[in-house]
Amino acid sequence: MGEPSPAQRVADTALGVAGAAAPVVGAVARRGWRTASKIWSVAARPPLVPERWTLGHFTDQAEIRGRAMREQASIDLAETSTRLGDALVPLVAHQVLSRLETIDLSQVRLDPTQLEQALDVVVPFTVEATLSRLDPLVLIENHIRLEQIEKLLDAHLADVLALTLSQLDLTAIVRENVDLVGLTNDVVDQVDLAGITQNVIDEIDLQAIIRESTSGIAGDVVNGTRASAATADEFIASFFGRRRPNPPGATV
Amino acid sequence: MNRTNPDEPLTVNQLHGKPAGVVTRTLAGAIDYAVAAILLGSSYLGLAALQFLWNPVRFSWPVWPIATWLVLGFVYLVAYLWLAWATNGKTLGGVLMGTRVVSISGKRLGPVRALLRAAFCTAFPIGLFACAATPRSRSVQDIVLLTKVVYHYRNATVQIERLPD
Repeated sequence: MGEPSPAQRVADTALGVAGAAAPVVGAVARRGWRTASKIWSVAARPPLVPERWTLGHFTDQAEIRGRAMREQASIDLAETSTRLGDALVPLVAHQVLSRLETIDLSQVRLDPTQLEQALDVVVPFTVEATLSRLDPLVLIENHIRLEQIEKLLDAHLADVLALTLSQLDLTAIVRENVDLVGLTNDVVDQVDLAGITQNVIDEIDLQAIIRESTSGIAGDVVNGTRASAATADEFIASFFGRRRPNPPGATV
Repeated sequence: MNRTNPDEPLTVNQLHGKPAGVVTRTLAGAIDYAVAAILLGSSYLGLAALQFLWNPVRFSWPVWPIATWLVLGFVYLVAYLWLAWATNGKTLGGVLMGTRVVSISGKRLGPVRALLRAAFCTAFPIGLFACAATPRSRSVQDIVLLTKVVYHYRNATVQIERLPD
């Protein structure tokens, strides 16, 4: 380290003096500030002086006016910045696009990892933003025709349903998700079983069926007994070595 | 209806109006005896019921001597057969077995002959079996009183077995 220059020495001296005087100056300044504040509090709004003529009133008005000017300046600055942006962005964009057109994209090498990361960020955001702006009803009204839907359903609905049902275990689904007992009870509650039974009985005329079947059975028994007895009569007659003088079946 | 084909199976309809055989008549007679027995039993129970209603405390089942049973049974059976033969010619046994009692000319019996036949059949039931051996299937009562018993079917189409000649 060499000998300091005179200027360096002057600066060091001044710095040393300032360092030694700083505490004293600070203490004097604090005391002076407190004193000035007390003096200002009295001088700003002295007793017996109307408020409108006090110094504090003037300073307050000046503060309010200054704040308004600052806010207006901020607004003006924002508007100016906007106008400036509106004027500059097209120019910049035009310049950027004009330079992009000159770039040979085939020569651009994309890092797959970076591209994937970029897509992970951009694609969800883009899709969400797109979907949030879509109105399904408007899309259907503008782009889908019912005739096309009908043709599509006519052509493929049966196959789609068959394929879907073949992939489903409907029995298991019903068992797991349907309260069969409750459903059965509801159905039974809704159905007038007594009325249906009465209608069925009325329709089939059960009494007539029972009457006919009973009489039919009795008639079969009687006819069977008669036939058996007549056969036995024939046998007895032949046993005694005679035939009937009027053979059966001659005349009824 | 004439039966020209001997191989044609017999039906009870084809026997209609022909003399009834001994088996058919015996079954019909058995049914008639059962009817008379039911009437007799009903009379006994009816009399017992009247006695019970008249004096329940001192009720006891009536005791009928065997002669009473026989006489009452005879009377009931004769009355039952008489009424049936004199009116329709058919007792309940006749209705079920398809037989009818008529005169030798095929007419309904008069009340006197029906009564005589009823009494004769009741007193001498074994005379029925003569019809098994007589040419026209006539019982003793039929021979004496000039009656006959014929098959009398209606709308029966049951086929019966035709015995070989």
